[in-house]
Amino acid sequence: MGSNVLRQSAQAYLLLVFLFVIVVVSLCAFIIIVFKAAKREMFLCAALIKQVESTNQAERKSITKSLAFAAASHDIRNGFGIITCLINHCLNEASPDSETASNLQLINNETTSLLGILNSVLDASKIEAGKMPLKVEEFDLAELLENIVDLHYHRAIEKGVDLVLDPGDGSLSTFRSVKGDKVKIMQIVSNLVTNAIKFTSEGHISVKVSVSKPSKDNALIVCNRHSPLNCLTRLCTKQKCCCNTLNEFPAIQKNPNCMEFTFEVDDTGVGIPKDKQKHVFENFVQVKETTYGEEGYGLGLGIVQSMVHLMGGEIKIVDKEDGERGTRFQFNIFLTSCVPVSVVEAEEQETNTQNHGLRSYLYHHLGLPFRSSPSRSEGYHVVLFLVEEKRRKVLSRAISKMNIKVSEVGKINEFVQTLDRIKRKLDLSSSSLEKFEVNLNLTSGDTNEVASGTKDTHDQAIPHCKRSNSNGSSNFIIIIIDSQAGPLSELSSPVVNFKKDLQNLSCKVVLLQDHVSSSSQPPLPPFDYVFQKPLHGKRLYEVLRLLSEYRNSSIQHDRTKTDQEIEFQELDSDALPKCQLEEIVINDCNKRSSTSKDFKGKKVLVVDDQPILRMYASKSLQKLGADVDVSENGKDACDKVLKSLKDMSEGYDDSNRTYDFILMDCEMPVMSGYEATRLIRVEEKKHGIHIPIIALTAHTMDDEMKLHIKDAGMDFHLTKPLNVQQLYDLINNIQF
Amino acid sequence: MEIVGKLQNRFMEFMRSLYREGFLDDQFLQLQKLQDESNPDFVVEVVSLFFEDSEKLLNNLAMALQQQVVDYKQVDAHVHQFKGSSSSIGAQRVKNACVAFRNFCEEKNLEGCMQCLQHAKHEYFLVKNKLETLFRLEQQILAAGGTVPVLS
Repeated sequence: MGSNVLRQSAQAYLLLVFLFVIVVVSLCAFIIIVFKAAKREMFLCAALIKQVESTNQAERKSITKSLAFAAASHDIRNGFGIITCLINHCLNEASPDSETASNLQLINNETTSLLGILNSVLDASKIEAGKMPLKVEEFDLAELLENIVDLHYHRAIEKGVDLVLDPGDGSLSTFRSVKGDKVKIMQIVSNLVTNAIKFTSEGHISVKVSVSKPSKDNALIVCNRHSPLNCLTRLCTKQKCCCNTLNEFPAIQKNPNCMEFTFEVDDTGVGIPKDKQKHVFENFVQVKETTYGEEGYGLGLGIVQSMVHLMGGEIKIVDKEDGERGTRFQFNIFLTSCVPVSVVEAEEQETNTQNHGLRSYLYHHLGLPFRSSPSRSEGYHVVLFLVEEKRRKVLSRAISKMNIKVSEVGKINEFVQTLDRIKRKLDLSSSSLEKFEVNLNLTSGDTNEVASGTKDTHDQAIPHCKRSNSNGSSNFIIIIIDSQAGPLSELSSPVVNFKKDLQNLSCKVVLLQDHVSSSSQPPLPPFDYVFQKPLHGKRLYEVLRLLSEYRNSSIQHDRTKTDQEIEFQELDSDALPKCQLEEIVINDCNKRSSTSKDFKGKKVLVVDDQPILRMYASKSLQKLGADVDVSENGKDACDKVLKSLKDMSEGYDDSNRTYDFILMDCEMPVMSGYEATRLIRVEEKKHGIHIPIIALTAHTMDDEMKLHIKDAGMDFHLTKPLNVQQLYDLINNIQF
Repeated sequence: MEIVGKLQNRFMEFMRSLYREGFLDDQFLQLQKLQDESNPDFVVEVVSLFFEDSEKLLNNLAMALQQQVVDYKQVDAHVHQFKGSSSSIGAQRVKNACVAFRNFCEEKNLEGCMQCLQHAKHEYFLVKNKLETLFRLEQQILAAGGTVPVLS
């Protein structure tokens, strides 16, 4: 038994040792593993720290880079500021009509657009992230387009390409006043025009805008962007600009004055092959077929596309008709029109004409009411002698839309023939009717032969011509001649012949030149006026206004003439303008002397909640000798007036007069001006007098406002801040 | 006295620059015309009133725009008042800033409003600075025994 124990204890001992060894081994293994882990962890830590360091460094680099860029751009902006200041300084020095002034103005415009580019390059990343805000302001879209075309016109002409601003269907002139991001639209159109100029070496480039009510289709397209598949792809490709469009779009659509503006830039250049058309809109891609290897503009069509998307629209390349070469870019954006759309529609229905645009432009800008729709029988006629075909067609369409007869001429021999034809027709119209008909057949035979080169809207108008001329009304003809059409001597001889045999007719000849130098040099006869090319927008309306001036036949004393025409007129009647000037000066002097102390003894009540305005108005009136009382709000004013009325009726002497007139602010706390006026009127009835109450308001005077004022019982209105001269005139009118 | 002449020239130059740079417009001229022997400090009084008023308005605007729910009608009323008072003393740039401000109020665009408030504040402090300099120059001229020239 002892040996068993011994044996077992030996085994046990062995086992123990074995166990011990295992424990030691596992412990060692454990320690080794832990060591290894620790080493790996340290290694990882070190790597992580290094990575974090390098990320921080990269971030710092980028921050310092953007800071440096911002500082540089700050300096660049300063530089631009200095340039603009100096240009303005020079502009002040130069005479306003000289070529220097117009060139300086162009430089100014270019500087502004460069500054705009700089800003957008800085914000290029912002645009791509879709965080670019739209700077909304009121501006004149037609004028903007005119400026853009004027800016690029000379560059295009140097290349032998004509840059034409096509008025299209005339809808732009109706909706020219809009609210939108002026700078971006300018950049987009400039970019497209510059591209067109780059890729075109002959022919023409046309810019056209048409306006229409926003269609429902666009809404659908935008909605589709929100579909799940698009969302997913958007997430993957990190294109965030579409999201923003969705945010902007509903806001724009809700506005009833929102209109869709479709822009088209069309050129006759090399064109873009169909397979590359999609790629041009990718950022910074350029199809390398430039004729002169010019540098890129820096913006790229990709950013143009993003900007168009921001304004809720789409840009695409439209197929041109078969056989026409070149590219047509089309994009549409949504802008708010400042003219209420309902007003325009109502007016258009009423007068049934599309001349609203021209009429309103002439009325607002040039102060002249143009005859709303001169029917054909009025006898207006324009002869267009332009070398460039597209421009000729565009202008002729625009002018004939205004119901004015147009004859297009492209070459000198056609010109001579057209003038002869016009003369013959007019000669014939004065003779008897039968003779007219017989001769008419002859001439129409003639015209068929000759009509090969010219497009003439004459033939349709012949019966009208008959009607008008038999009434004995005179015709007005304007001949517009392009100076590039030929040497001046060749151009002037047919004109001279034409003008010689005119009876009952007024004819003016306009010459279009590339550069109009100082207007002290009148055009050589037979040309009456000289205008600078390109003929569009403002200049076109000026030329057409010459037609309406015949009607009024107050050419000498028409004060709304532009400087150019005054210059020309001066040669004919140099005594007259000076006389007019003198008269005006005398009038002013008279006015000034009579303003002193002319309100002596008048009792005035000034009601306004703002202390500054109260002080200003009362001081101004006191200076004129009036006795001024002030009130802070409508209630106080009412109490004062009522009290004075009571005193007047109770007092037995005349010294207790009530106020002679009241200046009432409209918006006030406690009681508004309208309310106070109403109460005063009620009280006045009892005493049988009527105190003139003049409303003072800071709002613009639209019809709604006027109605409001009339409703309350106020007699007149003036806008703040108070203009003493206006007040004086108004008071004088009341007295007499 | 040469000093007076120099000071007067400096005053005129400064005044002209204020008109040229658009800080002041015709309305300020009207204000100056109203000043005469019977109220020699008219312009200073009105302008001081404007400063007080504007600072109050700017504070009100800042508070109104910091609310959780911004009451745009209230903001618009304040801006209207600011516009009115700035246009009545001829602070043209401040008035223009207010015009832009009102557009954003109409659109209820908070960020735009904040930006405009900053812009209006900036313009206000600029014009305040300019006007204070102007008055200081006036005081210097009067102290030197001269008369303050009037811009025609």
